[in-house]
Amino acid sequence: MPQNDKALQSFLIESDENLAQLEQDIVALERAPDDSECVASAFRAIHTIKGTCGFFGFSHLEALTHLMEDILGAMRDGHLKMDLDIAAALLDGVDEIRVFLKRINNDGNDGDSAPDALMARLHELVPEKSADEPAVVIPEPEVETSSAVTISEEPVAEKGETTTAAEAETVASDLEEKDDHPDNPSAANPTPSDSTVRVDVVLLDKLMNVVGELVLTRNQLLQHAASQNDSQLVNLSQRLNLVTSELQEGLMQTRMQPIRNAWATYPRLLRDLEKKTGKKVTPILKGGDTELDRSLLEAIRDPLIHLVRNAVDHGIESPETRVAAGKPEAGTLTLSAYHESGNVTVEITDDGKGLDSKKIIARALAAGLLHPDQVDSLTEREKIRYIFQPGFSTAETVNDLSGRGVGLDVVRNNVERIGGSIDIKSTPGKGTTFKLKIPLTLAIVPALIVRCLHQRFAIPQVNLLEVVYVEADKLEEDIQTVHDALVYRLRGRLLPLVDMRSLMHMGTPEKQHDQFILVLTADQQEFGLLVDDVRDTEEIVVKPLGRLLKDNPCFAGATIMGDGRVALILDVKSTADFAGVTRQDRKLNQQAHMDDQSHQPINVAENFLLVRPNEQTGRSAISLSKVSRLEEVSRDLIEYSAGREVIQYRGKILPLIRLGEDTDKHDDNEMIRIVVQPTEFGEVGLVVNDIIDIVSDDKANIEKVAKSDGILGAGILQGHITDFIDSDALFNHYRDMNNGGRDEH
Amino acid sequence: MNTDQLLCTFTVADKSYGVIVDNVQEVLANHQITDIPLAPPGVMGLMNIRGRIVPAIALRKVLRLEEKVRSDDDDGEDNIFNIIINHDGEQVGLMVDQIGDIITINPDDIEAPPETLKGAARRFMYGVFSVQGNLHLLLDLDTLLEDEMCTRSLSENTRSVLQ
Repeated sequence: MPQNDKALQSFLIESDENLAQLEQDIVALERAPDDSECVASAFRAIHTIKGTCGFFGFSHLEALTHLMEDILGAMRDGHLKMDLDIAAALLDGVDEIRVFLKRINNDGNDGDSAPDALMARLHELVPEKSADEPAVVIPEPEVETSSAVTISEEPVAEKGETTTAAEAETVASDLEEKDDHPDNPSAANPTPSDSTVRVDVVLLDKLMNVVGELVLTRNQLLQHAASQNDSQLVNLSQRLNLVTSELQEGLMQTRMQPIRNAWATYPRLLRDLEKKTGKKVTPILKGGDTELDRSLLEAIRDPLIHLVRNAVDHGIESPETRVAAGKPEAGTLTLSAYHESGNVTVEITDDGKGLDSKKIIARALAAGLLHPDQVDSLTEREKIRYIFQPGFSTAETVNDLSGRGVGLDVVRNNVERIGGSIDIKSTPGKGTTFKLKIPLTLAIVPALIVRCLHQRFAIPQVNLLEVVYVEADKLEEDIQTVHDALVYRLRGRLLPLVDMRSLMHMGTPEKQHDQFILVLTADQQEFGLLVDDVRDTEEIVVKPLGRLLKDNPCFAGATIMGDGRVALILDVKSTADFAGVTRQDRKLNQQAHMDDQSHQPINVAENFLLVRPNEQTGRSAISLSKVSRLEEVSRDLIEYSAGREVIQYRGKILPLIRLGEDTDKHDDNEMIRIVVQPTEFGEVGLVVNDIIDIVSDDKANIEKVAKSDGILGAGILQGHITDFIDSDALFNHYRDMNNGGRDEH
Repeated sequence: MNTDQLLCTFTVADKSYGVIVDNVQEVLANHQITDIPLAPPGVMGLMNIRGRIVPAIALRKVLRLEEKVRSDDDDGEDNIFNIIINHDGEQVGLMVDQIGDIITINPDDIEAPPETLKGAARRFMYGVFSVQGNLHLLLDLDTLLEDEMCTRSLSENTRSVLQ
């Protein structure tokens, strides 16, 4: 009987929601036992489940829910007050109901009765008196049965008769017949489900596809109309344009769900965690109304739970430790969600002990995740990020909260799979923040369109770090082979390269020409992808490849470009795996360590920015570590303060230093190039005539040639004599001049 | 109960074939096809059919027929037809040389493929029927689309080469 199946399915879905509500209410009541609204809500939820059980004849489940209803009923009537024992028993009841529902879903019947121990425990909690008293019952109103927003009065003890609105009209009318008091005051609080409809997601997906086709047809029509000399056609197509856009937007909206839905289980989760760890946690939820696509919401549900567990387990200290550290006894766990530049950002912040980067590094070394030589070159942030590596877990003891072999690497993987990213900030003693960036929808992603031979490919922006241009005549020189692997020296670091043409078996070009290296990252693994051309960035609509191509090694999907042709979307992580970049990189690094000092060690070479300070002098080099940005501004933006040149820069005053004399032939529209450098006094701009290149050199011998302020000495770089600029000395010199020799204080 | 069946006929490499018309959505001529690197050999590429991405199957390859020879005297402008099939909720395009007629046939007239029919393609044959003395092979799309020519990406072979 399909009709019955449908009803059963909707019972299962609704019961799931009701259970979630019930769970939340019980946990809330545990903290604030006097909240009568909470009691009423919990009662409604259990009553709905019980009533529908009767309708389907699930007597075992009904017996259990009936006991729970009695307890909550007594609570509502003031005969009973929520305490820890009752809450624990009720929550166990909730868990048992879930077991029942699962069984019903699988087998279609409710099988055996609930465990006797639980039934007995619940039974004991029911006060004698309440069983005889009539209870006001408010069935959950439903969409299909708006007539069911009614109140029925019936004795609680009367088993099996109560039904709810969860079913079809027949049930509802049945209810109405019994109902003599439609004006009961408690009915004045209709739930939002009055105005909502439950729709199958498959249907929405189908509609989404149809709208996609409509959009494409619209695009073609608009193009056609523009080429015709028919104003009526243009008008009509414009209207179609507007309507289509609105339709598309509206349909996207239907798939959006508030993130609150994913958070609904947290109060219970935290309560259980508190009980197990003996820690105290106060949750703060912010921005629960932030919406994102339901498939994404589904995808981040588990990662979020993992992070919450992680925060309680590893982040927040025990009450004693917290008090000793001068913190409040209860830790605070803040979950916040908000929109930020086209993404949804979810933050999970605890005020616990923070991460210990030393410990993390020690652990990473022990697990062989990095080489001791690499440690010094890591920033604090990079060190902390090692917790996302596979095979890493800081939990010293394995317990059942976290540290079950499922590490944060899985969380990161899951987040990255949906095109999101995860970041971490931590202050020792103050706490840790995990920041998840999730795209609004999976269907549309920003991507860079590149060309390889005759074909276009889309590279998701989220994987793209930078693009490097290599001229044809420099290819041989810049791209080297180390142990059969292509590498490129990117600012002193060896970047494994993958040639898209050979990887994809696309054949070789007739002659060498300029190439682009896309520096891509997946799984914290960086590699370069050689392509022929870089086009544009576009928002692309991701379409699945279908069954026949599902095991292809490199593509995540396809998209339709503006000209109606298909372009494939690169799956950066699978491509890296397929090309064996991970393996290659490890080999490279091992090699580098083995080669030791005799060859050029990696990460030792210093990078210099080559500039021409003014028209007269030759080349100068500035250590790249002392450069924060390069800017080009029009000369007429230079203003004067105390006789010195300054410009307004990012809302601040940026003093300018010239290395040589300013030439006289001023043209106000001329662009000047500024190397912005950080100093202890704030940023300073070094005016240069020309920026030549960025070079990497590890054995530039700097010789002191002439005593000059701000010049470290001279050496040979790229075959030219180059002055090495001592930025610090230069700034000191500048400052002294500025102060006119006076003492600063 | 023998209701007549509509079949769509076509030729590939001068051989005649048929598919049941119920599965056919439309026929397109010379539709733009985008290559898929590393794709299974039987999958020629992807087509955009009104916003839907549809793979194009090279029937010649899958049926293990000889490659098309390009003689010098033809202008190289041979039409390629794509029969768009709805299969298991997804669409695929079958690339064929010529589109034939839609014919009506009594299911009783479809015979089992003769024993003499040999070759790899035999397992894709549902049966044989004749139209005006001309034998046609009725394709079994389920087996055809599950053949490794259509499903096995080049990845495995390539990987071994790379290592």
